[in-house]
Amino acid sequence: MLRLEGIGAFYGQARALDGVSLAVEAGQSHALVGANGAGKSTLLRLLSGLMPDWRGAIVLDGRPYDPRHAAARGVALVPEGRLLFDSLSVEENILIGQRGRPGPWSLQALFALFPILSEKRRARPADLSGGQQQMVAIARALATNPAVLLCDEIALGLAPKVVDEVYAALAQVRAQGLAVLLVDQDIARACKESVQVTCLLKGRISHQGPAHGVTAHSLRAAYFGVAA
Amino acid sequence: MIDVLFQGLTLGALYGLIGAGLALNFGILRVVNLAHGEFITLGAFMAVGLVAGQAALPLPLVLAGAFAGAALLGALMQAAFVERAMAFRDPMVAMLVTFGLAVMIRNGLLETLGANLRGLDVGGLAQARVDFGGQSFGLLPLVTLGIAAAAFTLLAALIFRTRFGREVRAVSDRPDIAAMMGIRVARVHALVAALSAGLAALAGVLLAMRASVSPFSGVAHLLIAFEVVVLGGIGRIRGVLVAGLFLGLVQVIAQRFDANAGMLYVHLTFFLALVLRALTGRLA
Amino acid sequence: MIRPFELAAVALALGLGILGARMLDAGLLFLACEVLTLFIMAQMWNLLAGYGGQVSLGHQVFVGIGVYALFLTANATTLPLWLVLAGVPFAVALAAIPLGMVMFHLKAAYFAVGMWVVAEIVQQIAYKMPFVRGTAGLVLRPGGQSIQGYPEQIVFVIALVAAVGLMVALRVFLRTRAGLATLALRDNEGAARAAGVNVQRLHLILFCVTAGGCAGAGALYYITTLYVTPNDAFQLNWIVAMMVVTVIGGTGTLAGPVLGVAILIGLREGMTAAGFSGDQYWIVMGLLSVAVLLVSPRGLWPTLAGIFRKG
Ligand SMILES: Nc1ncnc2c1ncn2[C@@H]1O[C@H](COP(=O)(O)OP(=O)(O)OP(=O)(O)O)[C@@H](O)[C@H]1O
Ligand SMILES: [Mg+2]
Repeated sequence: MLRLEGIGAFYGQARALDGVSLAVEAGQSHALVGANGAGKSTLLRLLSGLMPDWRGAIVLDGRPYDPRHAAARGVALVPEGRLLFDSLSVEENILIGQRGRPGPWSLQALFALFPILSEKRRARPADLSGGQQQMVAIARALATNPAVLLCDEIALGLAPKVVDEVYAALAQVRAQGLAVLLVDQDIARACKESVQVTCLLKGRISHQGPAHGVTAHSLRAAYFGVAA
Repeated sequence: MIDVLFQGLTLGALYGLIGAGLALNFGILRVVNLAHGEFITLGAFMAVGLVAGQAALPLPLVLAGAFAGAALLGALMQAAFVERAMAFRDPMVAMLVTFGLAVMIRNGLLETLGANLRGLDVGGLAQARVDFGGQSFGLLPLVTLGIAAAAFTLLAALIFRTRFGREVRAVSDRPDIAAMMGIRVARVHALVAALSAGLAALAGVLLAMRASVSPFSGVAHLLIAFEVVVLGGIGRIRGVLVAGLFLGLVQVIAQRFDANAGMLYVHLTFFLALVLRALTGRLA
Repeated sequence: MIRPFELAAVALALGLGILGARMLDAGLLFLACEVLTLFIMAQMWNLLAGYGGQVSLGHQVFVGIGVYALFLTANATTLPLWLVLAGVPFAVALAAIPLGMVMFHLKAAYFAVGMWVVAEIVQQIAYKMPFVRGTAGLVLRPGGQSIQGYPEQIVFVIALVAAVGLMVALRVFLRTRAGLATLALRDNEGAARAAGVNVQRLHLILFCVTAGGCAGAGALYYITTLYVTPNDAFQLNWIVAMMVVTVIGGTGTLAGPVLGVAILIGLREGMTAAGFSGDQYWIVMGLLSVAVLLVSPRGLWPTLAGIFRKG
């Protein structure tokens, strides 16, 4: 579905990514893990068109992909920190995503996925709990009817029960055939949800392979960059 | 006394209208548009030109013409100059660009039309009066008030009830995320600039029906617009209207006690409010 | 501290000033006085906006206050005119302290507009004061006597020494501790604050210094015209000129306003000679500022200096 070849990225002079290659398949999740500052968010931001300075090749659905047309090509980001539109209601936040790409994610379908949002449709993001805000961020991204969903730390700061809810919704999303690139601090959790895993270390790939059975312990050398 | 109140409200509604345009610029583009006053003048002069060319033109068409002309220029200015200036890290660059544009427009008007004061001849409308509840009101102020109220209602509906308004607010909140969601941010900016310029022109036409304007009027009007926005709060349409009404009332009441006070008491009131807020720390 | 060649520059300015005052005809002297006083004002605006980061739309108020301080004091007392002139910048700088203490609570656009409102208020109050004589205007008659001779000769010497002296003083100032803090403020206010620079106090100092500078330059300029009205002294054109000069020449550089004034006046004289109207001239200046801002937002001087250094 989405294929990245030798991706590099820069903040001014500073190189944040170097030679990153990976693939995400339809209906599957790919876990992207790494320590703080490894470059995970940078990669997701790059794919969403938020990084102007980058190198490499990206192919989506067999055609070259330009991140500046992320929404039109069906790539949607659930950004780190949620970054909701504060002066828009819950419903309006979601409706912003609807820009004419055909697909299953109507307002009704999204309210079915997150029933609590239907009750809070007129509320402002500031009046929601963290979990509800996260659901709005996911719903807003899904409303664009993407083929690829990029999730950045969607479990951060949430109670365990809410994390389970969010990941249950994500499983439903995958069942619709979406490809998911999943960043999570909790390595075991991310790998449990995923088929493949890529570990970044200072902007480079330090491990790549099947996600089955991978734990924080088994990945610690790649994660910390020391011989284990 | 009722007459004074009524006059103050009418003038204040116009102040609210010019403030609303500037508030759009300030709140959504985050650019202090120093050319805003020139659009007020431009609107007035376009109306004068339209009426001079076609005396029988009905008022709604004059208003629409001035709105459209100014909106077009506003959008062009945004797309060609201001949008590019907004890319610089220092927000003052965009403000200074609008300053340069204001100098150009003002002197362009002077060059083509001269420095003379011009008024908009509205025929019998200026003298006509209507009786209402035992009180006699001028028809012209009533019409002005009605148009201003309609403009505010439409603006609020546009911003809070439509898809376009939703996108405008999203762009105002988080331009980068809005762009990522597929909103064409530069296009929204140009449309907001058009709307802002159009509102200014609308107010300009109505102001020209009350009193004469010259190419130098833009500066004074810009200052009022600023005061309205700062008092009313950026991005709050209702606050802007209330601030406009308040300053209009202050001006009319002050003029009753001191006939040639001009804008002095308006400025003083504003300045006191500003200082008070600054000292109590309620200022962005 | 002050370097020998800087001292030499001031001495040279004095010599050239005296020489020029004798050789140049009245028209040229008048133009030179305008150029020099405008330069001082622009440099003041640059100091506050370019270095301090506080864009003011109201510094014309200090021009007006300076002029009236000079005219009213000189007319009402028997103090020598040039002594009064020397006192004006200091008096206005001191008087600006309370205003500055209020104004530095305002940031960015609020400060810019707040200053403009202050200027409007002061102008309109000035109109109402009987001793200002409103639109009738005020004639400079030190001690009640008409001025004899050609004041522009002396004004030229003073203005030239003041302009060169200002450049030297600013160079010296930027080498001091407070000057380094100012440079830090110019480059990054947040970082300057973090490094322990007292930004508010620095803003207040810059505010008062620039107020005094504009007042002195304004007073100096109007000695050549001998006559003033509030409409003229408080006019928006002063701030427009200060801004255009600095924006085109270069904000946050000492040489920027020099280049800017040269362009502003050079273009004006050229276009007037070629038969263009004043409105057309200002259209060109507006266009030029927009173009410069979009191509080189810090003005022409930094870009030109960069080209020279490379070339
Ligand atoms: N806006 C920025 N400007 C400059 N450097 C940045 C910027 N954002 C991130 N970086 C740097 O780029 C590198 C990668 O950051 P990134 O946010 O992608 O890491 P991450 O893997 O998402 O970390 P975390 O787990 O903390 O979210 C870091 O060294 C960071 O300091
Ligand atoms: Mg991150």
